[in-house]
Amino acid sequence: MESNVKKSVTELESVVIRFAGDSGDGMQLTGTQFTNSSAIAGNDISTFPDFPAEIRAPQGTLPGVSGFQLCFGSNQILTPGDTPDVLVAMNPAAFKVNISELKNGGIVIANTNTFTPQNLKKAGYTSDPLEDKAFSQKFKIIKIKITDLTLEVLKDNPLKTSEKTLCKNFFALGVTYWLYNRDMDYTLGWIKRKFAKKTDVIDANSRALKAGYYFAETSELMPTHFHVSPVTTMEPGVYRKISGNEALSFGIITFAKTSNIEVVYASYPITPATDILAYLSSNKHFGIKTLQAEDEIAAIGMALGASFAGNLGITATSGPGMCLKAEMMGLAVITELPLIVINVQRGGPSTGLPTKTEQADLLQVLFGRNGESPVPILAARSPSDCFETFIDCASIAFKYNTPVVMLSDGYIANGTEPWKIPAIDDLPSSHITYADKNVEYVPYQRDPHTLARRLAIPGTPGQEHRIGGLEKNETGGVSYDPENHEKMVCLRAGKVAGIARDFKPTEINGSDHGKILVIGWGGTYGAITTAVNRLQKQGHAVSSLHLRYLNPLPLDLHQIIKNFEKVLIPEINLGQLTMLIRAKYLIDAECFSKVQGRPFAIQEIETKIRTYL
Amino acid sequence: MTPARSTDSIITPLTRKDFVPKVDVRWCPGCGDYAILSTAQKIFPELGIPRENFVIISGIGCSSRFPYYLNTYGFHTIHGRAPTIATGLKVANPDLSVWIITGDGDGLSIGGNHLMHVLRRNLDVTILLFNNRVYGLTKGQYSPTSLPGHKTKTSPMGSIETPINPLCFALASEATFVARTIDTNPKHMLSVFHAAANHKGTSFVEILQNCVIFHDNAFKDVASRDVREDQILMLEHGKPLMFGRDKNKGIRINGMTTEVVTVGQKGVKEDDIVTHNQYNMDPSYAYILAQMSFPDKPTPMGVLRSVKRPTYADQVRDQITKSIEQRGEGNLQSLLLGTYFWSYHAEGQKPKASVADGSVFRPYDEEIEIQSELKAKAEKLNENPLLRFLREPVKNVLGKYGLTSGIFVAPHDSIAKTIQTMKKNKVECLLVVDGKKLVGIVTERDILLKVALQKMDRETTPVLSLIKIRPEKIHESSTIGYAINKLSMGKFRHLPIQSSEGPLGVLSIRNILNYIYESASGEHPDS
Repeated sequence: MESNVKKSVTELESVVIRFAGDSGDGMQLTGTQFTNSSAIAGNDISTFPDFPAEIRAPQGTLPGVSGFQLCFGSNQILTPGDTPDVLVAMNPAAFKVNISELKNGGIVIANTNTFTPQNLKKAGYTSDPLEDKAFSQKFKIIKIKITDLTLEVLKDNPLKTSEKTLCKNFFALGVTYWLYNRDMDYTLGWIKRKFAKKTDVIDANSRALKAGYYFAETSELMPTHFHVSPVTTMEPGVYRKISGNEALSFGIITFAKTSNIEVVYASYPITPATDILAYLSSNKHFGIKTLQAEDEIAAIGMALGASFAGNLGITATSGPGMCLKAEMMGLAVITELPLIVINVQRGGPSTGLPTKTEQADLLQVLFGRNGESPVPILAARSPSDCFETFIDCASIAFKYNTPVVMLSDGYIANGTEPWKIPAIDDLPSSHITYADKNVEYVPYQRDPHTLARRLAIPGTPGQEHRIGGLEKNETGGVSYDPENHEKMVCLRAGKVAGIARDFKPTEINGSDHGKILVIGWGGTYGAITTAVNRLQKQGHAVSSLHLRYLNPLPLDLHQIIKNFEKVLIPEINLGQLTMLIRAKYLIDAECFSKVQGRPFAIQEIETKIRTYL
Repeated sequence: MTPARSTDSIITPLTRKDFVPKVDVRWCPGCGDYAILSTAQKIFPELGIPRENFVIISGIGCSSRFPYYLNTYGFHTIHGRAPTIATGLKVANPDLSVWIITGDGDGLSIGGNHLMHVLRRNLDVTILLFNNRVYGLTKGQYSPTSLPGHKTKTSPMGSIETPINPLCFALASEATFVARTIDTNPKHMLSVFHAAANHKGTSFVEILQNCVIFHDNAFKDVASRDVREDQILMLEHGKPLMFGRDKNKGIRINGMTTEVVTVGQKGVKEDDIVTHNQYNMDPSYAYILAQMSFPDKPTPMGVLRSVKRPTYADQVRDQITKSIEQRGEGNLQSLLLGTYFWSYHAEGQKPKASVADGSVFRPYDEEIEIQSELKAKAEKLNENPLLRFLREPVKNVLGKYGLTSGIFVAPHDSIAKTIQTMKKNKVECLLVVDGKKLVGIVTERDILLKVALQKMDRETTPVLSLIKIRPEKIHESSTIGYAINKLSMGKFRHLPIQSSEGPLGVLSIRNILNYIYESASGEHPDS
């Protein structure tokens, strides 16, 4: 592949590519192939798919544009990148939707076959933007008749023309493979495995890919290609690429196996949480009982019923689904049963932005129930972190017999990054301690240290008892006694607050004192950390920390905050964590807010921090 | 005679007392719920099920206090949601005998959706729906089963809603067992409960239950003894649908509806009367029976429908079993590895992922084998004192023998300058470095073969056009053994060494041999 020495090679540290086309153009697949090849070439990677809520919006229209962005590099990569260096635009609509974000001087690879008057009109153009000087002076536009070239190279292939046309994404992939000096072997192997016995399809896709590669290599359109070296900072080990929803599914299966516990996973389809149900359902040989419920309420009810029976009940939802679960969460709080409620956050309120990301459910999960209803809340920071965060949630649920909320978001759920596969033996395991069968069972008698009540599960002789949503006294009797109610309210609150004693010291990125402390939670991790690292390299007294535990907050947080002059909290909401931090520690923490259905760019955070330096 | 020692194998039969907890029942005096509770306490010991295996799940309402009054496991949940909790419970432990207690408000209003789905799924539970046609616990508002015109505090001018018939609701929801009984006939209730408990699948029982406070005498047409015979149709499988004081009235099916006829009148013979078949797979039959009610027709009581269908929890389990049969029990490590993965065996090394056919898929077992072979080899090395140095970092060699200075050129330096640098420093190999980045490596051989043979212009051609880009390189902390492996596998003469700061230098196989010689003999090779 490196035989061609006529063209120059430029070494780059990292590159951001965005593939964009109609939602039927196979852009997600194309992006995934590029990502996998880059991972295997030894680059660090981070990806973010951006697809429309409509499954197949009318062809060629703006709402139908599907995109996939990835960043790959020779250094640590924590986000899919702020602005693309390259835009692959399969039609005018894809060009229009994405061009404004392309870096100045960036490369556009456009399939000119689709820039027909009809398609231009659909995208709202009156003339061809590729010929527009405003664009051609700002960007390097590479015009390729991708459809024609694909059909030309496949003219001997017996497939129908419509089927051959579908291979054009592989041609485009081939062009980018040459441009970034990528090996085609992985994708060629993948095509072979994917289409197993359909030799014509294997031939067509493989040839389209190679044709794109060799076209780029020989064409004068691209005088230079680029090389991004493998990362040198990866810990030795076995890696794979993983999305947040996959990592969550793995966390569930892993916890079930290592803790030897049966799991009932009940869920109602809702974007972007649905993948987890689909993933677990297609892996039934791991024994997870997956139930597709009739609605969000039933889903959490089934999970809670399973927990009452001694299984671990798990449910997941997104957006408005979380509202519907509130009442049952209250029941789980008062009955003190282990339960995991996963909220893959999306844009709201109401149906909001189903396929876009947001972090605006924090206060809802913290306070959105009647009465004093405390639940532990943990948030994952990156796709692979969903694995560990889930296991952490489940361990807390078991140790304290409490419902636990795990927050993910659309950005983490669908984004991918490399994940060092853990050794099974090193993973923690948990178990529920059941009440002693030899002494009289007292349903609300508590462990003096954790304040967790002791459980007895149906089927255990001699421990028959009743639980429910009415306030109870220690022996499990219904009680309207005012003092008993206050006592139980405080015990439940104290139990959840006490979980903080188990937390490891909060990790600080940078010095433990200084001018500015940036606090984040959830999917903003990559952007915050990268921005803070850049500023630290320039000698600024900036540190950051990222909270997994949002309720209770870590015990050392107050002391850490005190060692900084200013606290800045970037959030994809109007300042929810900021409100909590201000209220709890009486400090003038400032929120850096963005609520656009998309993640923070590194540059945005860096610029914001600079205003305080 | 010495009494036999009590062992676990001798089970003392349960009695009603075993199911009565030490709590006060708080229903209003005269409430129909008492009769239902008493029947439940009577039948539970008769079912041959250990007490600890009973679980009573309820929602919200007067009826939903039921679990507190039975000494079994119980869960008083939230309004309308009992079927959801029961579903999770039963899937988690199918051995439990699960009873759902609900009412006309709980089950048909707020919980209508869950009731429909638990019925169609055929979860193996018994549902007792207490129908008193009014909201009792909130003090008397009309319910979804209240008759039109029913006056309450929230319907002072009378309810304007068409009521739902619970039996029709259940049948339309594909229920496999549908029955009705009444609080004033405990004997009948007991027989219906028995049939319901013995049915595998969802058993739905509507109990007509009188609320003395807010809707007294709601069922006066069918409740009292004196009207029963003429106004109720008692269903018995295999028996004709006959009723009346004189046992001469019957139900004839005419087209799509039922009609009341008298045997012996207008030429009606006994054969014209329908024989009740509760096992009829066609739910339309049960549905037209359920549509009958006094005063037009007698109100049916008993089992309308009882058919077999696989149950939900069994099917959930069966699919798991089948999946394990087909795919083997899930292997966690191979799940986590997925269909493709790659590995870094040492820092800074290009990941190892490709195999000969260009695919990167490698079964987990193979990967484990490779890993364990490597481990075994490493342990073997540790045993041999002479070879222990192979585990030392390459920087040890580099410090003594390697080339670390005068060996760098920039990518755009000319070939002429490259040759001069080699000559000046008496080296046969240079690293092409852009800032702190290793771009490539250039050797005497490259110059000989490419420049000499291809007649390149030495003054103007940059060295970049000669070199092999992306050369194999290793990190300074990699082991000597690894370096030897790299050199021999790749048939390289020179291997660039770098640190996280950038390229440090280059090692040849000769440098390493010298280091080995010294390590083994203790003397410098040149001395």
